[in-house]
Amino acid sequence: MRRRLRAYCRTLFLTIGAMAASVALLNWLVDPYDMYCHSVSGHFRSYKRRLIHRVSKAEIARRGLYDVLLIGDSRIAAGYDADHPALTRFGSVYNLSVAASSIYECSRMLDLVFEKPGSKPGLIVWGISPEFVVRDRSPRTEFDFDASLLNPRLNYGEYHLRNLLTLDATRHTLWTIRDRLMSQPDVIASTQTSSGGFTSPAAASELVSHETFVHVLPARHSYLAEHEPMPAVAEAEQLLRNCFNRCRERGAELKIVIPPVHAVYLERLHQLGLGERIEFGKRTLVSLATECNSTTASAPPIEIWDFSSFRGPPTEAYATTTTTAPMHWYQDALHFREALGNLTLDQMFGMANEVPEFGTRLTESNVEVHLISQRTARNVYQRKHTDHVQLAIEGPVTRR
Amino acid sequence: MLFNSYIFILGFLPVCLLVASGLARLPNRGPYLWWLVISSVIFYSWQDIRLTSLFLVSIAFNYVVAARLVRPESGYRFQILTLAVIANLLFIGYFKYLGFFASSANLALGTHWDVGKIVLPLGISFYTFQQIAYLVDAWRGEVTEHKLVNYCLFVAFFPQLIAGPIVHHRDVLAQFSSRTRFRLNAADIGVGMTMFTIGLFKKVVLADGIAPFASIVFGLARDGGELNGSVAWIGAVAYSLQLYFDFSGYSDMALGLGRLFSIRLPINFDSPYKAVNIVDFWRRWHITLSDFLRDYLYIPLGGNRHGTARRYANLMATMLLGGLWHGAGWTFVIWGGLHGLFLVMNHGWDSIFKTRLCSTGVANWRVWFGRVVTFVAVTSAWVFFRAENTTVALKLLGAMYGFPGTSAEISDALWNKLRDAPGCIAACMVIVWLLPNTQQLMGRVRPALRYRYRPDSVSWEGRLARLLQWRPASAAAVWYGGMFVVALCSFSRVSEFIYFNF
Repeated sequence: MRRRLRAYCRTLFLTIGAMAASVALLNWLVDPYDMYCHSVSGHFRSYKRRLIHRVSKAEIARRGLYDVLLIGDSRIAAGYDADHPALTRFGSVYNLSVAASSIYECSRMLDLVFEKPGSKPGLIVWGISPEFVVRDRSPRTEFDFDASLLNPRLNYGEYHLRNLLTLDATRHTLWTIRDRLMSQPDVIASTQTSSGGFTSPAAASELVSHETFVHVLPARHSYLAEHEPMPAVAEAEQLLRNCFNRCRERGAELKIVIPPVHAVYLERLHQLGLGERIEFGKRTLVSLATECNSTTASAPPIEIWDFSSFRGPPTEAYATTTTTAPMHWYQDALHFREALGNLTLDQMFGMANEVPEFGTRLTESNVEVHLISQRTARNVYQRKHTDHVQLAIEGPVTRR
Repeated sequence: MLFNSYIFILGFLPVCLLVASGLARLPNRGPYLWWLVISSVIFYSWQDIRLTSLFLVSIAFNYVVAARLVRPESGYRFQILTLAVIANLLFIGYFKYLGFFASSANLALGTHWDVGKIVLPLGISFYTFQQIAYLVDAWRGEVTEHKLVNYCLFVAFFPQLIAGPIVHHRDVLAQFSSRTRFRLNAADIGVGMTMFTIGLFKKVVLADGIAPFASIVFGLARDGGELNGSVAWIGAVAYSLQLYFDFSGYSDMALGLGRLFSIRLPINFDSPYKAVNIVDFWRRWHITLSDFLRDYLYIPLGGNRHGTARRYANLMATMLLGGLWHGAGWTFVIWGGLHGLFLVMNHGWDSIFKTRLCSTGVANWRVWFGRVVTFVAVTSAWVFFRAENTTVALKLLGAMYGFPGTSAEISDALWNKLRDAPGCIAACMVIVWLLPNTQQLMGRVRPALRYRYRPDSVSWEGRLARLLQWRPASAAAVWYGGMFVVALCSFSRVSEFIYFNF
């Protein structure tokens, strides 16, 4: 019996060791998150699906030397083309945006960029939503925040073990190998390697359903509908102030974009009683930019661009249950397509052929006039688009 | 430190085991025991070292008091015991219950008493009540040997420190004192690793796998979302299964870790969802807590010695306090009250009809009827255990039982999130209702204290258990090795054990 028990223990530990080592070796060789950058993993780079993962984005922020950076949430990730000539004329471009990112995460991303010796981005385009003033979401609750370099308390032992051993990493390793064998480069990954940016998957261009359009509308019970004073506002302001100052100290031109969400989404926020909050957010951004611009006269001024609007493309007819063609400007009420992202870039960089109906550079002198004009535009919008208003009042549809 | 973390499995445990195996060869068992104490303190301090001092103060205080109580010639023994128990209750009362009492008083009296944010020390309920039991037994004269290293290890032994099983000194002190115990050997390591593997798999694959379904539904109820009956039942059953796999997984790991160091811990779970009535349930669920409540609360209150009415009152009081032991909140009190009510109904039925509605050994359909009814009752009570407040719990229960105004249409997006839930729940129900539990699988090698299982060869359950029982064979080693690696690869994110909160 004793001999059998010894043999059992030996086999048990050998099995564990052999299987765990095999998994770790495979994941290290393929390196699905592009963490290790060795020669073998390079063969798989254009087949890797997880280069949009926080782990990958944070690694890239730490390692890469780029002239232009795009940061923000999924709207910036999916809606801005890193190959846009307005950006590429400054040099190499990378889109570091990650889905559902918070201001805290964006500031950590900038930390990683600036900590890299020799890193001197000349231009940073940062998408910030005015809703930040009503957000209470902690970045630490994000599903892959804990395991990325964005987490300042990251345990490096766990970091490497997770990325060498976990099922998530292994699954992506196997997908990568399969796509490599079938020679099917990932749409996202191949674009990233060529231009250093993020392009929304090809499938997204086919999205058309009403269900897709409305699923991002905030529900009446969501965190966005909380009306209580948010303690996070002061923290967010301080983070922004630090980031703004840091960019100016490093000589980077900073352009803040308030993204062009669909007017139905904006109207929904107003219907939830958040209109004043959004205006407060815009005023806050402008005052912070003015404050920071006044400190270092030699650095390029921070620009605030507001593309949230009740005029122009954001009022596009939305997908109904009978729609058959994809929307031109939008994937859903929150996410815009690259076509619209390109319009905003054209306008910000003075490349627009005609003056668009939306998009304003906000300054201390025009912010109040702009907000009044937005309110007027909303009144007109409400009269012209009663179906939009109805949808905004009812919110996400329940069907079962 | 969590059992389901790389730092524990690939760092702490191998180092601890290697040093222990070296020290076990020494003729004196002192260094071995002290090493386990030091390792346990490191284990406890890993996440938040600030609370370690409280833990050590608690051990030192109770050790000094017990040293006095074990001497029959000491004066004022009862008074000392009373003061020590009060001190322990004040200790746990401050850290665990002050906020609850303050908020309840504010609600009832309209006051604005603010106690600030008090950090709850890990495992405070477990180590405090374990020590109270020790003090009481020392006063009763049931503690024969009171040594510092043994006492420290009895309280701090890391496998059971944070979430049980609640160890009685009788269970382990004799093992610490035994001169023949500590020889790390293939039997203990093989059995211990296998039990640890089963527990780890239960926790990270089964419990963490089904947890998102419960979180979605309870989150929806909390945020005021729409619920209907099927969604509410999915959430409640998913939570029942999550809790079982989480806590019994932890207990299996604790027993396995203890065995690695040649220390046998008491059994804590015995397939509770196979219980045929609620009395049976409490003999199978968190067995060491049930024993503690019976020995140190129910029986001192009078037990069943003073008539039926008093017995039921004692049961209710015990279960209400048992609920409060689990957490400082009215939902836990209600949960305890519901179980007290179920127990009273169960005993009432037995005494009125002189027969048990459901018990083992009766016709098969009655056993299954009993199992289903018990499971439904327990699952309904877990809703209070999981919900943030009574409003959320009542909303979910309303949807489960079709109260007027609670039925709602559910969006496709929600159904998509819960699409895999029925399949996962069905698979987990097969495991809890049909398969042998960890102790039965390991029954040949006495996996827990005072536990031995010999499957019969008549019933299908016995035959299945016989077929699946662990044997030290190569095929079993490869199977459990594979399970271990799958579990190791499933650490996608930090996931604490539910009972860490208690």
